[in-house]
Amino acid sequence: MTVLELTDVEVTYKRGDGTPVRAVAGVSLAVNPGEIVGLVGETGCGKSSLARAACGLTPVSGGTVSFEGRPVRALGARERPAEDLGLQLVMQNPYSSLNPRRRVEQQVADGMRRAGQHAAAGGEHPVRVPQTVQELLALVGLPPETARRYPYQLSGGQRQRVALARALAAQPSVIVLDEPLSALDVSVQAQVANLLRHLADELRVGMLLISHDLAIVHHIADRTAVMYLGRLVESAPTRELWSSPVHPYSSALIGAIPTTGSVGRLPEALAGEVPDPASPPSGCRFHPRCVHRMDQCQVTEPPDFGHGSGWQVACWLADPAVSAALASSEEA
Amino acid sequence: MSALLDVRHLGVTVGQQGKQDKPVTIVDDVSFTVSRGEVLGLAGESGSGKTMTALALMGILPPHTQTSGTALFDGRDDLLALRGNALRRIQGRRVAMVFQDPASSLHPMLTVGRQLTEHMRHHLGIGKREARERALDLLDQVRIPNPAAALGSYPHQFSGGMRQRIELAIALACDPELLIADEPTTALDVTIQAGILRLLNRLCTERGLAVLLITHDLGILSAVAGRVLVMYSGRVIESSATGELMTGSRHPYTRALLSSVPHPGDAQASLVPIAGTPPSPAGRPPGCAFAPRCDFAEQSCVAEVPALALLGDDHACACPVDPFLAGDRR
Repeated sequence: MTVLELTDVEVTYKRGDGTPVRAVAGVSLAVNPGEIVGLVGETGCGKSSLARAACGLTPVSGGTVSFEGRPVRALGARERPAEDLGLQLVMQNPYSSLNPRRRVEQQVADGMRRAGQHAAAGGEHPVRVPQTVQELLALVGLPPETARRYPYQLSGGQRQRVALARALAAQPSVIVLDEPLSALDVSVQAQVANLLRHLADELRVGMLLISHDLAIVHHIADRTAVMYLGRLVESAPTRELWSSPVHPYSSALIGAIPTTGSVGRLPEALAGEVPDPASPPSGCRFHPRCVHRMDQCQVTEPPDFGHGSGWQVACWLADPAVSAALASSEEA
Repeated sequence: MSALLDVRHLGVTVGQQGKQDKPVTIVDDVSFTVSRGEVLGLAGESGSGKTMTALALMGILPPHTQTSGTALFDGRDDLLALRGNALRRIQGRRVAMVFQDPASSLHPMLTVGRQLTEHMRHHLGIGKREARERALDLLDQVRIPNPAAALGSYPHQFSGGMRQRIELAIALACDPELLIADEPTTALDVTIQAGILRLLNRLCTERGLAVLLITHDLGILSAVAGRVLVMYSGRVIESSATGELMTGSRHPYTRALLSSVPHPGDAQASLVPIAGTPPSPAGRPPGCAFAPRCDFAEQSCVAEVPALALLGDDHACACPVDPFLAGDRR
C-alpha cells in the first residue's frame, strides 16, 4: 500500500511584483513502505518546494497530497494534526534544524511523547521504532552519552543522526529528507547513507530523498525521479535509469558527474541555464537546452509515456509513434 | 623545467603568544610543487588543512596565525615572506584565488562591472573603456548570458552558479599564472560544474595556467588533476599521479576515502564508511593521525609521525605499515 501519494501537485509562489511562479507544476509521485524514492534535479527545479508541500509545510495550489489515505492539510497557525505525526521531515542543515538550547534527549523525547499521547487517545499507530531515547540513539549509531549533550557539542554527522532520531521518535511511516547529506563530509556521508538504507529495510519506513548529489541517490534509492523546472521528466527504477536513461535531461545529468573510475575524462557540460520558472518555455520545458530537439517539442508538451514497468518518460522520443517514424526515416 | 610554485615545509599554527593555550598546528610540513599548465589537486575532508594551505599562500590567513617554511613563486619571490606592496604586486595579479562560497566573497553592494574592472585597471594600468571591453570578453568566456547587462547588475541578481562563474572571471581578469581554487564547484550543480571544469582545463592547455585545485571530491580530481595530494589532519599522507592514486593508492586513508564515495558505474559495490571522525587539530593523537580509525594500525603507527616515503616515480606515501604493498589493485 502506498503511504505517501502526491497527485498532480502544484506549488505556486508570488514574487514581490505579484507575478505568480509555479515552482512545482503538476507532479505525481508515490512512496511505498520500506522504499526510498530519490528526487534529483538542478537548483531551482522545485525539489525543495515539493518536499515542503509533501509534508504540509507549504500549501499546494493544485492537486493533492495524501498520507496513509488521508489528505495532508497545510500547516497553518494551528497545531499539526496528530494523524500527520507519522509523516516526518529531516532538513538539510543540522546546524539550524536542532534547537541549540535544548539537550538531545529533550528534543528526541518530544516526538515520543506526542506519539505516546496519540496512541493513548486511541489513534492507530504501528510501533516500529524503540520507545526509549537510549535505544533510539543506538539505532542511529550514537553513543548513549549523546543524550545529555547540546547540539553545539556534536559534529555535523552526529547532529544529522540526532535529527534522524528525532524524526524516528514519532514512529513515522514516511520521512521526507531534504538534502540530508550535503552538509556532511564524504566519509560521514557514507555512514549516514548506509544508515538510511538500513532504516528503510529494517523498519519499513518509506523515504522521499531529495538531493542534488546524484551519486548518493543512485546508491541508496530504489526508484529515482528526475525533476526539471517544476515537472518530472523521468521516473524509473534506479538501476535501469542509470544504465540507460531515456530522457535527454536525465542522460545529461548523469553524464555530468565526474567519477573516480574515469581518470582524465572531462564530464559533459549541459549548455544553457535553467529558464525562469515564471515564464517556462513553450512545449517541452527542456527543449531550449535539448540536443535531440524536434519541431513538435517546441509546440506540444509531451505526456508521460510508459517505457517498461514502473518507468515513465515525459519526452517525445519515448513516444512509440515518434520512434517508429524515426526508425523508418533512418532506413529511407 | 623549474616549478612555478615550490612550497617547502609549509606550516601554519594558530594561537596567540602569551596566551595560556599552546599554539595549535593546523598545517604541518606540507611540501609540493605546481608547474605551468598543471592542475594539482589537494584532497581531504573538512579540517584537514586544505583551505589554510591556500590562505597561507595568498597571504590572507586569519589573525593570530603564524606560518613557517617557504613558498617560492617563479623561482624568486617567497609568498610567505612578502609584505605590503611587494605582496600586492603578485596577489590578485599573478596569483589569483577563487573561494568556495560566491554568496559571501562578492561584494553585495558593488556592481559586477566595478568588481570585475577595478583590479584590472590597477594591476594592468588600462583605461576604463579597455577594462570594460576585457570584462565583456571575460564574462562571455565564463558563459554569462548577456554580458553587457551583467556589468551593471549586482551579485544578488544572479544565481549561485552564475555568481561562482563571475568570481572566476574576476580571478582570471589579470591573466594570472597561478590560480588557487578552493572548492570552486562544491556549491554548484553537476551540469554547471562540468562547464567550469572544462573551462579550467582549457585555460591550462591554452594559456599554461597553473591551478591548485582544492576539493573533497575525488571524482573532480580524476577528471582534471594531473597529480593529487591527499591531506589528513594537517599533513600530506599520500601524493601521486592521479591515475596511480585512483587505482593503486597505498595509504589506508586514501583507500578508505575512495571506497566511501559511490561509483556511478558500479552499482553493486557498497559504500564503506570510515568509522569515527577526523581528530581536531588540538587533540591529534600521537604518531599517525589516522591510526585510531585505521584497520591496519600497528604499534609502530603510534610511536612516531610517519614520514612521506618515496614509493616510486612521483608516488609518496606516509604509512609505516604499507598494507597494500603487494599490488592489491582495486
